[in-house]
Amino acid sequence: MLSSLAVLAALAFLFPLLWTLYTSISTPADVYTLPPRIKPVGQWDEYVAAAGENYARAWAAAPWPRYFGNTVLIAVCVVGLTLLTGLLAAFAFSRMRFRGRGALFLLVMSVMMVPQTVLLVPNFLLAQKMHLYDTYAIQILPWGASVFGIFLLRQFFQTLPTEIFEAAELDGAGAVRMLVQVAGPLAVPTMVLVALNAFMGSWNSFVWPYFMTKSDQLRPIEVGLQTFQSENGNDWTAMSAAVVFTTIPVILLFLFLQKYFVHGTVTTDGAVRG
Amino acid sequence: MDHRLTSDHARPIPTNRASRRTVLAGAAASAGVLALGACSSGSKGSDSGSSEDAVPRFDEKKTTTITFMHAMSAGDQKEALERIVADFGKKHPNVTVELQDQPDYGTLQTKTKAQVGAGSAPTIAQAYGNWASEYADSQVIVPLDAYARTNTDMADFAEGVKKDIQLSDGKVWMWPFNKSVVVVYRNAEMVKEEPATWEDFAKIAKDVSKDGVVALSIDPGSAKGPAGGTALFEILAEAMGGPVFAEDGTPQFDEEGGVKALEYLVDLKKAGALAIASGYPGQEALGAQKGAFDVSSVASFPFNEEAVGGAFEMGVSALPEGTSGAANQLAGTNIVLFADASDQEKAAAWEFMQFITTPEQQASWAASTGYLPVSASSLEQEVLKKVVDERPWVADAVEQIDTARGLPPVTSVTEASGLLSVALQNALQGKAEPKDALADAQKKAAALR
Repeated sequence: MLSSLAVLAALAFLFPLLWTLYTSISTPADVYTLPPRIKPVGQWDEYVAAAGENYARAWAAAPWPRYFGNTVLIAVCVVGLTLLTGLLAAFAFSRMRFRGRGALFLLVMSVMMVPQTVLLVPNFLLAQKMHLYDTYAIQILPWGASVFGIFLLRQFFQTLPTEIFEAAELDGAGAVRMLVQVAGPLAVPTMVLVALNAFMGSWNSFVWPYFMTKSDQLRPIEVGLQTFQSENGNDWTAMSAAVVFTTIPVILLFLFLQKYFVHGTVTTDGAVRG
Repeated sequence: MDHRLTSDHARPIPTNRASRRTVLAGAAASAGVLALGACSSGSKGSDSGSSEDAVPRFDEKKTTTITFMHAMSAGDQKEALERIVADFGKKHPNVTVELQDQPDYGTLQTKTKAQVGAGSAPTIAQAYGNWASEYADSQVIVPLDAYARTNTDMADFAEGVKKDIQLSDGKVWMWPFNKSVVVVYRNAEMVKEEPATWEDFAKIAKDVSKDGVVALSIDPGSAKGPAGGTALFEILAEAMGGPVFAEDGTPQFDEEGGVKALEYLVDLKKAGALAIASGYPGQEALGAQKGAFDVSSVASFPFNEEAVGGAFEMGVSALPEGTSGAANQLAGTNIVLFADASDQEKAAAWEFMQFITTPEQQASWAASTGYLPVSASSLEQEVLKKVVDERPWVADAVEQIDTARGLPPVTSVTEASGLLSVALQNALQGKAEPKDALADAQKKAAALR
């Protein structure tokens, strides 16, 4: 029973992906045909021909290798910064005692409540004033701290037994060493979860890079996907083809790291002897 | 599209450039709401100094870069614009036109205003009349009357275009770019004859709406902004009694035209001949053979043709007539020239703007994108002759530019159109009677002025 439900749920989640794949190998007219006419095996020449045309058109529409390189660079930097700031802030909020800690944490959390759209124009003006407009930095720095990441890591650090920090302190460890050598290694699965979240957020980012850049040389993949949308209609088949070849890296990353993703909340079993 | 705007008519506008920027920046930043605001009442650009009367001299030998912010960022439109820029570059090798593409008109408007606010306005940008009105009120664009007097192609522009590039003060503030009117696309195998009147249209729509077919699908728009369905409603209103906006932008939603038009659409919906969705539902339903009509811009032609994919014959015809005669909406944007540009940049930009409207470039642009050329003489160009041979309705559509009405170039019209979209949604979803929905929208729209 549970297995059947799991299969159904998996299919439901896979459907958009499969539909995108189907669209990428269809003719434009097929896209609008309802219900879709799936051709039987042996008559797939049309799919092959359409796929060839769609993928070629999609590939020619934008400088994808450049966009891809930019996206990877931006995503990697964002992930690195997010982890660095997340670990430092979360450790401070969970393990260090200082005046106003609770209020400061609430202040950080409150950022989540402000819709990004509202801040777009003020942020643009700020970026201009700081000479960050149309740079890699404007696509990296503002996303180098994740409130969600800080929250998640803080929650994790709070679950760690006090004894391990007391033991470290007895061994002469300071706060930084405790974070780097004790808490950090234990938090790796949570860090992977935070990193994946930051990576996917960065990979999927569209409005921000579009608004904050003007040069093709600096823009990421998602901006390239816009090439297929206009005020009068969309080129769904080429867009789907582009979505397929730009999504593959994210899917591969997920497959590679899925055990961490699934087990994002691990226990500290074995960290303290009973 | 996000057309929300606010304007502050009470605030006097500072006269120096830096202060104007500060007002713009502050207005935009203060609440995250986009306010170019800061309006000088009445006379647009009256103190914009020498730029009003003098056209800067273009120094051909001077290396110059101009920026053009636009939303022609996809497919044929992008390629055609890049071709224009390349052709211009061949003619003026010392001028570089840097294209700054935006994904849609909403983002274009937001980013244009943000850049103006930040003191880094593009040299030129696409703009609707009501956006241009706001820019002119804030004195961030230059009037083009003096510029226009130096142009020889303008005499040949369609009368509708000549009017469309003016603001309510009667001055030329914009230069034409991508113009379009609305036409009826139909599945010619499902509907043999083109409907001559909206009454015919309704009868045919009801007849063909069976076995899973809903004759017409529209996007009514939302509070964020109008869409194709809003434009259809505005056209219907004019054809059935009177436009929803008076010439000066005064809303008259709940008068005869508006009420009859909305009752007409609600009647179609109740009969199962009209569906509402977002995006391009008419195009998609037509392609899927689940719809008989798509009422949309001439610029939709390449997309509709692709959606149909030769599966059936697609007919294209002029809009049917209503009880008050024929009506159509002149859509698409124009180009504005920003005041912050240097004289040489302004001069180079003006060369580029004029280059766009030469009959050769207009013909090439129209043939590639489906937009209409701004002058009938473009139809004599070989490239467009071929198009008209294949699609005779294009020539009819060009003629309609003269009679089609653009929305009044008044700032409040943008937000008022969003209110109209809400009224449309409420009536079509059965949440309110047409008259009540329009009366409510009218009340709110009147308060905007």
